[in-house]
Amino acid sequence: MSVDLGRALDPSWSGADPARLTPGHTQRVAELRALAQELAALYQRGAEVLAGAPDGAALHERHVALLGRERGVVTQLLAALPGLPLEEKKRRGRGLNLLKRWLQEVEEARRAELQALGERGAAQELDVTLPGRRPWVGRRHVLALLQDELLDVAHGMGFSAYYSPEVEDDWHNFGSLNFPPEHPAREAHDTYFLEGGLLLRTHTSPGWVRAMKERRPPLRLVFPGRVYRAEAVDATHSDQFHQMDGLFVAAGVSLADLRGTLAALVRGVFGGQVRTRFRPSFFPFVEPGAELDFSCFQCGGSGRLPEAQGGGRCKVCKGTGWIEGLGAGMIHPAVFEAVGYDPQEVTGFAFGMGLDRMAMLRYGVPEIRLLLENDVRFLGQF
Amino acid sequence: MRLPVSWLREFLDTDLDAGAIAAELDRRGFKLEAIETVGHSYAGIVVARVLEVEKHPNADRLTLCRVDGGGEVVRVVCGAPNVHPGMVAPLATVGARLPGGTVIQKARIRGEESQGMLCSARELELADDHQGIVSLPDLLGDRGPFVPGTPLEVLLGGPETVLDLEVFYNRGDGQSVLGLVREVAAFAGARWTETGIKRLNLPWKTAGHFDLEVEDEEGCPRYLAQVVEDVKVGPSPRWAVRRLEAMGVRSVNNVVDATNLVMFEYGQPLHAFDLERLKGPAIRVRRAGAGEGIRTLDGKTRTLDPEILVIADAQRPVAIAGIMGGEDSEVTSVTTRLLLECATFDPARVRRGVVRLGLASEASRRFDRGVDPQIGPTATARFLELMREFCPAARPEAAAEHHATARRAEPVRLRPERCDALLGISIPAETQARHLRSLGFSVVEHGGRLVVTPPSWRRDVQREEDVIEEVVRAHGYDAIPEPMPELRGAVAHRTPRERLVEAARRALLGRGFVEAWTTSLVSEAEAQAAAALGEDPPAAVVALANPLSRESAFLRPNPAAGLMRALAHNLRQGQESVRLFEIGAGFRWAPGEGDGKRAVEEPLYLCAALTGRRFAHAHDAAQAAADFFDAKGAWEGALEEMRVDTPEWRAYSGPGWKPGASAQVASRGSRIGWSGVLAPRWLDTWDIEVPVHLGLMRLDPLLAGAPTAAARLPGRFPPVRRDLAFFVPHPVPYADVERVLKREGGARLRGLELFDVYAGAGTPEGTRSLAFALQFGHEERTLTDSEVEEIQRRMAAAVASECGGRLREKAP
Repeated sequence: MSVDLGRALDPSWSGADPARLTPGHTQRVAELRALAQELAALYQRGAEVLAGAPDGAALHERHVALLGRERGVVTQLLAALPGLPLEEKKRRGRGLNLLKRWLQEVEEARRAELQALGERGAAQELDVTLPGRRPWVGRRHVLALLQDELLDVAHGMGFSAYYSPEVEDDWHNFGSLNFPPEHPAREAHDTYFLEGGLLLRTHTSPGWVRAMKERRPPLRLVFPGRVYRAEAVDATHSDQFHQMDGLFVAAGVSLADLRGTLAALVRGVFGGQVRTRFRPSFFPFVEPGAELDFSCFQCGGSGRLPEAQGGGRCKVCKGTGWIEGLGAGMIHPAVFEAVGYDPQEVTGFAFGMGLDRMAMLRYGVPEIRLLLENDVRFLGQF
Repeated sequence: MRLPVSWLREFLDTDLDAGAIAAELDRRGFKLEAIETVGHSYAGIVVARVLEVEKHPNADRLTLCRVDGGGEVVRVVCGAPNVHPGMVAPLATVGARLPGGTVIQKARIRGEESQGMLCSARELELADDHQGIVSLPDLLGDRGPFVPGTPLEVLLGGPETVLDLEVFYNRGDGQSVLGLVREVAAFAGARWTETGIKRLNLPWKTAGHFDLEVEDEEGCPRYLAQVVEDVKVGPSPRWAVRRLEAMGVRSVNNVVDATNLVMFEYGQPLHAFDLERLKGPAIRVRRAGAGEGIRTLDGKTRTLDPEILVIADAQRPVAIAGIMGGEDSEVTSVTTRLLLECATFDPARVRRGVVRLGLASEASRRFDRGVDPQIGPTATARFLELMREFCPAARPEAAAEHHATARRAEPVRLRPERCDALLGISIPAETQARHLRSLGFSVVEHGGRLVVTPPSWRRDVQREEDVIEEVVRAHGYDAIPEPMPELRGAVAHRTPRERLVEAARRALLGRGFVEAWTTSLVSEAEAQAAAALGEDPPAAVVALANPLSRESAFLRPNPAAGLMRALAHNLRQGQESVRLFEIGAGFRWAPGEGDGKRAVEEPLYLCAALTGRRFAHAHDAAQAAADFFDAKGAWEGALEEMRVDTPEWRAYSGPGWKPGASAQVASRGSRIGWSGVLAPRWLDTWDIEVPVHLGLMRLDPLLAGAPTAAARLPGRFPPVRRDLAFFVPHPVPYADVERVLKREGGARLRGLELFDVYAGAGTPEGTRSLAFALQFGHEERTLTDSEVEEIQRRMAAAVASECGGRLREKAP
């Protein structure tokens, strides 16, 4: 039986430079040639492809082709021995055994080399600076980030979230909140109407009314959600924006409780560096009413830009050092009466803030439309 | 409201400067918008007399003037045609700065030196007139003396400091100088000036006869009518013009200016009619007749209805009460007799008129917030006083008044301890009373309570809480302490809705989708298109009754509408791969009774859209356009992460979806969503031309959450792995085969994975090969071969009988 080297060993397999093979290589070839010419050739090529296997898988493949238990060429040659004349069998048997041992040696040596290479890392094999196969990365919306943060702080202060419908009726949005029909305060609430006396809520405060009618005090809730005003859209106004009201109703709640809560809320959201100012304000559904101003994010409350930025009047706070933060107050007794609570038994505070404006101030977003446009290049920054 | 500080000082003697006054008003709830300076100092500009005028030797249109500027006689080159010897005009001397910012320098004009400039009215920002040099006697009347060298500022008045304050709706009194003066007096410890005291007590009384009838007393509790004869309509004096400018109003004529000045000073709107143009002459205050019309001062014809109160003469309406006068009874340059109206109107009625007519005015903005019902006579008297100055010949004649029995201000009881409890701070009762008195409230102590009667100008104070607000305003909001928050029995918890929404959000974020918050207001086409994707037949979309634009005229039936808009935006901006999701409400009319009272439902949706490539980056064969199974895999992963119980997928072919590439998914028997490729025609709504994969899931059915199952132990005995492949006829969906295998495998089946789907050479006609890697196991022992073979046999039999499938000899 003769060996068809081309068929047994894929001619495309890379072979090692013979010079790199063991010092005894040439001698082994000569020794085998003395026994059988074809075994010498087989050893030569076999040693080269084993030593030249680029990785473990290739080495295994080549091992199978040469020394594999079923189809290996050496195995097959050994299996053919019994049919040979005795002398021939002896000579060829010796040659084959040598061949097998030597190939195994070469293979082991290469395996050890590859292993060492693997342990040192594949640095020589891969350009690790090529970019990886990278899946897409999701991002929370910038308003969601802020809302989550506010909810987190509120939650830590004992406020649960309450979600209420965006489509409301006049009573929930206005009447129950002490906006009598034709009250001038409605002027600020340009309203989108639907058929059937329904409207899109102009603030999240109708949620209070629903929560109070549904539950009994104590109530400690926040009301995140989208609100609507039928007003022309410009750089800082949108006809849809987002608010979060807060509410605490229990026996003996005071304006001081409100102030303390707001102080803690502001510390929680902005950290200690933001100062606040508490001043009177008017909303139909609270009495006394208040507003909380924040020291300006831009100038830190000085009203002037730092010299490094050219000095001059701060544009964000218009030089006052303060920016309007949130509206607040003690819940108006008329609201309690509307939901069937006795204002002599319970009192409560409420506050409300606009998320969009806060996000714009915090992240320096110049135009409100960017918030609902959902440009992935914009959203990807936060 | 604008408050010129000089006006305030006419009433009050105070050492506080404008900044301090502004800061304290701000602390008391009159938010300071700005401190402005109106007018100019006219530095370097003086009164001058032109002595000689001669022609400029080198220019036809120029003259050389010798001008007495006080100190010395100067030579000025002048281009005005009206300059003449003896003229008294303003001279900007060398170094003077004009209001526009120009600094006057010594100059040589066509070879002649000019040592200053004679000014036009426009150059001094006194008027638009630029025809010639302004003559000061013509501008200022006989208010001399025009002594050369007198600084112009002495004649015109210097710059005025004006506080721009935000006044809340409840503070009608704050819409007047007087109201703000009272507020300042409360904190400044200031004395009222003699002028101030006089202006508060100007007497007025009825005289003679004027035909006045108020038919609607509820709408008009008080009406004063004052005839003024021998009026000469003309310009107002300079100080009045300036004061109106400081208020942001242009001077019209002496009569209208006087009404405006009184309105700003006292908060009492006045209206002057031309008496000759009133039929009767008579005044009737009544409801408008249905369909009655009037042409208002702004030149527009308005149709009225009985809800609107009008001022009529003997024949027709001549004004809309509290809102605007009529054009054909207005005061004109030829008016010599006028009727002044000074009335109190019901705020709600005025407001109703404003809303119905869509017309508001300075007057209506005061009436609808409430005007002091006691101020009428004083305001009328002040008008007459101003007329005496503006038009000395004018004299008051007949004066009539209709005054319904005045509603007395109701006293409010204040419990000092209630005040303390509501504020969370202790303020002694005497201090509370002192604060209230400082604001003009009368306070009587009675049995431990304070009986508080608000002044006539504070009708907004009606309840104990209103009084408490007054106390704390005066005391200072800054004095309220900041105690640590107390929960008082309230504890926070996350609702199932919040947990579900957060789980859905995390699931999509984890799969590389960017969270979007898109518009709820969309076009009709977008609304209809989005509705088609959901329930079949589609939900009834909800329209706005008063949209501002067609692009935002409908409420989205689900977030797909806005999400597609956002996707289209990103594609237009050059993004090729976009993955967006939104969790939010849709809106639809509740399916319905149709009995008039309709309700809108707001189901909660998760919507996600995907277009473009599979990976954010890959530079090998792994990169490819994302296909149906990439998208479905994302939804499946998300549903699994959300713990959705055994989702079942079925082919779906509703409108909007591409047939054969779309599916619906159900959980526990009810449909929860749709997924697939969008039909190209449907994408036309957003001009999108690339394939888009969409998933739309209803979250409400998932609110209940998956039942909590008892933990199943993985066991310690290694499973037995077997590969099985079936030839299954084409129409049979994969899901059917999987269901059968799982059922037959029962508790012993530990794993099922489809690892190959193949049709082609080797598969019988009309079938495909589905190859499964199955794992079998038992918690307590190793399964025997015969047990496994028995299960496999049952599986093969069931697939054969129920799906028409056949076991392949050997898995590939």
